[in-house]
Amino acid sequence: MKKHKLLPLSETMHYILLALREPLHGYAIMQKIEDMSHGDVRLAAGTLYGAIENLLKYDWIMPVESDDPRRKVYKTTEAGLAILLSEQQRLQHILSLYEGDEGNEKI
Amino acid sequence: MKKFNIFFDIEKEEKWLNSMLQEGWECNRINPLGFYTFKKNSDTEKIIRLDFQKKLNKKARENYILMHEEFGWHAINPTSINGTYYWLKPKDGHDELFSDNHSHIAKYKRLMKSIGFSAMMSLAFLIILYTSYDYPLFYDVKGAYLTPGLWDKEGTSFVFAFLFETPFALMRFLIPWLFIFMSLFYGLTYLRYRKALQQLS
Repeated sequence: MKKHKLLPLSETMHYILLALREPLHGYAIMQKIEDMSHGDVRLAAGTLYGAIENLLKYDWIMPVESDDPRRKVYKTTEAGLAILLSEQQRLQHILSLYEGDEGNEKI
Repeated sequence: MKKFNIFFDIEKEEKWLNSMLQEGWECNRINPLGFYTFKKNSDTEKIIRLDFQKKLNKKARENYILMHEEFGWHAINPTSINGTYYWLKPKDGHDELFSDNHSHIAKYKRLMKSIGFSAMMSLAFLIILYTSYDYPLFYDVKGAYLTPGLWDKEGTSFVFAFLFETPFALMRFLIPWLFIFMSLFYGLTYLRYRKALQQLS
């Protein structure tokens, strides 16, 4: 099976999908990600805009109702959560290799 | 102050606008024909970044602009005919539109698609020009004069007919050259964008 264009998730996509497990608007996404990454990841406007467009295209996030009609609020969808789960498993496996649990006894 | 300038490459345009900013001239209006309006501004601690988007409908554009405004960017042109958007912001250490490689590459891909299309269109125009009817070749100056028997005339009647036809002949002669140059510049810019993209990936 051909891998999805956005997989494995980039750091940007990863953080956005994780941040949007609670509904947020554009700038708040950036702020939350800055927090989550301890200041390490600060998304720029164009990057966040492009990433949101991309994630919307594949229905991994969706717009939700908000009080402010001008500001769009987004949330990770079921499909997006499923992607996060598969990425979690992939990363856990890689982490286990770091810790030498399996596969590298022969080295 | 107004200045006229034509850019095929938005990286060069961005550099030029930033150097104008450094000299105390802040661009506050851009006309798609190439006229830039500047106002004097001694605050040189500002930065301009150019983005390129494919055609955005009204709602998508509002969303695009709002997102950038939240990050402190001000759109010099809130609408764009050719897809270039000019973003101005006081410098604060977060002075880029893109924070990862992927989105930076995506910008070059949008640019290449658009300029590749323009190059194709001007080439197609040239081909149509030369195949659809009896158009004088681009190096044929004499052939651009269509007045019957012009070159057999003599004296004042020649001078009069010649001068009368010259503006039309010039136009016929220059149009293909214009498109040859445009194809060339579009093609070269395409290659430059491709090089920038390769350096990123």
